[in-house]
Amino acid sequence: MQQQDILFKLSSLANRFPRGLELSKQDLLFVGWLYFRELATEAARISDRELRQQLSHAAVQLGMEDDVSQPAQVIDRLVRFRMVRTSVTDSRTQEYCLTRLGRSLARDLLEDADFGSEDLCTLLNQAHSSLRQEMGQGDPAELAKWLTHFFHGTIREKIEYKLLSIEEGLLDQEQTAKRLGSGQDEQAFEEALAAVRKGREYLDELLDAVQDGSAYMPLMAALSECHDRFSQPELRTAIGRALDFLEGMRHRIERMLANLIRFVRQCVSYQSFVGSLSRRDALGRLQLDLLRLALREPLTMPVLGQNRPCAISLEFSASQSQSPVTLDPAALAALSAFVPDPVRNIQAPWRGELLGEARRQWSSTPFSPRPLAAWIRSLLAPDAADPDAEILALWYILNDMPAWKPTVLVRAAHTPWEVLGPTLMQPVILDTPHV
Amino acid sequence: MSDVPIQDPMPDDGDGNVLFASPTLSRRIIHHLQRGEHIDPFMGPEFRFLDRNQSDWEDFFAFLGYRLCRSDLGGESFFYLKPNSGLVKAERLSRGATFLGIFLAWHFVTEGVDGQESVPAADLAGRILSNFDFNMLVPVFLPVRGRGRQRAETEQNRDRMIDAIRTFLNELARYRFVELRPSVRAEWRDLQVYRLPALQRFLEISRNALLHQGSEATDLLGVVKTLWAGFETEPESDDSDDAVEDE
Repeated sequence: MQQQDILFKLSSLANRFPRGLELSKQDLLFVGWLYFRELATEAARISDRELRQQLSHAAVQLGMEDDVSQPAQVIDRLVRFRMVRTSVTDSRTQEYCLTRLGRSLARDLLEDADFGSEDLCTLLNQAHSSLRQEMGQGDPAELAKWLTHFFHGTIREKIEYKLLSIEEGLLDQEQTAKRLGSGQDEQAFEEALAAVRKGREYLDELLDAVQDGSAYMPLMAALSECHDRFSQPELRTAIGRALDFLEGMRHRIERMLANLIRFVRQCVSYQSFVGSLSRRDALGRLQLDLLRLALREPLTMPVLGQNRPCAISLEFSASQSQSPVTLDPAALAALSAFVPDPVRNIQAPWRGELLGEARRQWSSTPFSPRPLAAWIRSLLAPDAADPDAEILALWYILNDMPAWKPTVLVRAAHTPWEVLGPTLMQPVILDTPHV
Repeated sequence: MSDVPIQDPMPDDGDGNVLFASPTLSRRIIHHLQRGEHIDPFMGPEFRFLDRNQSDWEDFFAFLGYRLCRSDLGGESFFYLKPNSGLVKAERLSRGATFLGIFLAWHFVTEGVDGQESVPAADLAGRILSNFDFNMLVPVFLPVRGRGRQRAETEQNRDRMIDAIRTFLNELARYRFVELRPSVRAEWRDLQVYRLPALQRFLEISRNALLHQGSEATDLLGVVKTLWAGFETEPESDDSDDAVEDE
């Protein structure tokens, strides 16, 4: 089309509607009403008297009596905006009918308002079956037309609207559930649950659209087939765009599904956690009281005692554990603190014998390091019947050691702990200082 | 989660030795429980083993002087031990850890539908410090040093309080009331406190009070005493069992 031509047409449009379309909501509803009447009666013409009746009837039915002026004025407006025109008749009575503009405006507006009504599934089915039909004819020009006008025009728009409406719906349900979830009464909670249920319906619809058995995969396959069969570049571009669109749609659906599932799960886990709403609030209040109580009174929860076996160890601080330490009376006192009190006062009959043997062995082979626990056990071997004897022997030896010649040097060994009597002991090696 | 079926040998031959059929698993269960930990479904193999052989385990722990308790509070199950003989020592959580437990239970219960399973530790401390009077918190969190000058809300004392909160969080984590992620030693600002099913035990008091309440004036302290006293046992007179056997 020439640009001149376009400009001419547009300027005549401007002349025809110098003040734009100043249609109010009521006007649109009346046009819609007349459109449905026309569909129902299959009569295009309507007498003046009946038109007035219809308009007042519509105003009552739609609950807008207060907002509407007299029928005569309404008719005047509709005629002025070229929604309705007077019909040419043979009789003298005045008759009206919808203009082409009025009819198509009503139809398109209704379709637009109704964008969410068709299932995604139906839309995909529709696209698939009509594509198969086109492919049957095998005319690339027709196919290209189908793609541009039907697929990219109608179907795509409908799918996009549909996804938008589901997205908005989901957001809405989620907000309702959250708002009501922190509300006060049982009924609000029920409503919140209803919102969640509504969300699950959306979930079903989304799932139906892309899962196996829906028209989604066959449609993709048919489009790919066309892509392979026809070589016209424009056609292939259009098919490529269609495939991209479907792919994108699936990604979007998957994202929505993930969000939806997360939300439903949150609701379920929340419900199992607290039960009902009023109960939760009561519980929350009591728990707050409990917190206040815990601030005033020394509340401590009972738990099981930690059942650790007590251990004797010669523990040196980190810096000392590296270097050997010669026993001095102070260190000895610290060591002996590890020996239980009841043990200290026992005077075993074998005490003298044990210490004599220990001193003899120590002075006879002075330069051989001895693991303390094993040595005690070997010294005790004949009397090994009593496990407490080992602790007792440790006590006697600790007390006797300062007098030994040569001087005793204590070293911690880095090996697993050893059993000594009823407990465990950190391995200790007795050594002589090298001169 | 790591509990894939292969690592989950589930002895189920019902010949009475069922607890010993999988020694490693049994040992883990025994030691976890004896340390006072709670075993919840997040510990997959251990929980399932306990769940499937509950009565065998109950007998086993009764023999050792414990009572194996299963709780389904709030629809989430977990197991723990209670002392059932004077030989088993009961200890007490520190006052700070108890307070934190009650606070966390309250926090999660009031979260609403989009309630999260976790709360950043720094947020938690911030909320406690802003919700309660600093003076009141000192005896709870800084009991020993909390005298005189320590009660003033200075920068330094706030830091001390936060350190104490961290220590008490560790204490709660040790018994598996909560879980600390990414790790116990993580940076304070990264530390997340996750709710575990056993945290429900801090709601037990409120739940019980709710069940028996007629009015607003529910005696919480009374409920606390009744519930928590169930943990104490009379010291066992040592030869009573033998005496029965002798007769």
